Amino acid sequence: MRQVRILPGIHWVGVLDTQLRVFDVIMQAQHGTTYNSYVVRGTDKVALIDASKEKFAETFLRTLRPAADPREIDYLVCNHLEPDHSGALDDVLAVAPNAQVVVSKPGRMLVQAILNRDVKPRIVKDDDRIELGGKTLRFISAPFVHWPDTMFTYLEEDQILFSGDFLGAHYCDARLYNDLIENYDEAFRYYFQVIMRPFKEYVRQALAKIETLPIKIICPVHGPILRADINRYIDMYREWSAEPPKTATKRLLILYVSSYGNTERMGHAIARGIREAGAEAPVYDLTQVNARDMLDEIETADGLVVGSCTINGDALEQIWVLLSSMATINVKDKLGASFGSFGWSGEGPLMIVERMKGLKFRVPEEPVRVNLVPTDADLKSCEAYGKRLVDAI
Amino acid sequence: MQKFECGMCEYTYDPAKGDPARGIPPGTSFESLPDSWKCPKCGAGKNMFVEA
Repeated sequence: MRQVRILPGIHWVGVLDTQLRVFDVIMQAQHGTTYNSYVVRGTDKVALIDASKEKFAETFLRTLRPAADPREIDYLVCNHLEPDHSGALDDVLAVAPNAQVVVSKPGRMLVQAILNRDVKPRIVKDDDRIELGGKTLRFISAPFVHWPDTMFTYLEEDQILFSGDFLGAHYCDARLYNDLIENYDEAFRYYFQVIMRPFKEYVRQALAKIETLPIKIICPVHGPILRADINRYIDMYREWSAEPPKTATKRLLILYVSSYGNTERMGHAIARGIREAGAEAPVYDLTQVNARDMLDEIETADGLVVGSCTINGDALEQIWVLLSSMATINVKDKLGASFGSFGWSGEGPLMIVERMKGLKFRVPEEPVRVNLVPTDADLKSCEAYGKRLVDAI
Repeated sequence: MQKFECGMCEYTYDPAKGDPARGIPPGTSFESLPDSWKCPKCGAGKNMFVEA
């Protein structure tokens, strides 16, 4: 695609990736994506803000050239060094001998690891400025949204925020501007859930930093450029990044898989114990609900009790999907516990608590395990276990 | 003893303080931290630290 003029002296020079369906291995991208880069031309200097993915280096340079001869580029600003925006850095620098790479302090280490050579980057701090002549780039440190080196670049005169991944989406539409395309809220929300959600606290800090900035246009590195209803998008981030509400009643969430109903019976006995101790205990069968749909519930609960029978020496697949999907939420110091019925080996619950400890759950007790069919005494033990878990919250 | 700073976030490891929350007693030099030790703030590995 050709370059697009955003305002005088400011061009979009990105790449449309219409074919992409899975991003970073972990993410669906049913609408494809874009890798947005921007040229900002002052009267004295030219800056390129972010590059592109390695495999699109050639396409990227083709789009870039009519907007700026690479030899004219004085600064190559990397708002963050993730390879989908820095992979083409080497190719760009090869034809832009005068370009100085501009990164945040953590970015210096990352750019070295991307290029495997020292390009002597210019390190900028929060509130540093670079003058291009009639156009001033101000850098706003915004760590961990979502990479440690993340910063935003704010073009003061034109009130444009180059926001990196922040407020972006995997959504490919050649019309580029949010007011020219159909509603893409769903892609915008999904992007937040997968990319930004693990860093809610940092999202709130970043929002606070841009709150008082006059912003006319937001230029993210993926998806549409925001120039209409900007506050609607910022408000969505504000809502999604808010602290989860604390309920007055303690609550332990029970999720299980059960082959023959034995682990299930244990789960309901533990729930009885939890309720007798005055806490709530919602119980879900993980063959009936999707683990990813449980994340909000997990986030607001005081703890998680996961049950699995053991098949071939392992917990069941649904359990591993659950435990791997929790990386996107903050479970640190939540109470973790496990249980399960087994035929002869019973490793499942032990593996669950090990993984929970890795996720930084607080695991106060060994799991409760029962050989095959729980006796009345076993179920009493489960109830007692539930009560003790409430005490340990 | 030399302090070390995480290259990814602002955490500084101070040998005089150690990292008691992770079982590292005061007086432990950065070099003698176990390889499994990670930045308490952001999780970066030891190799991401530089002299402060």
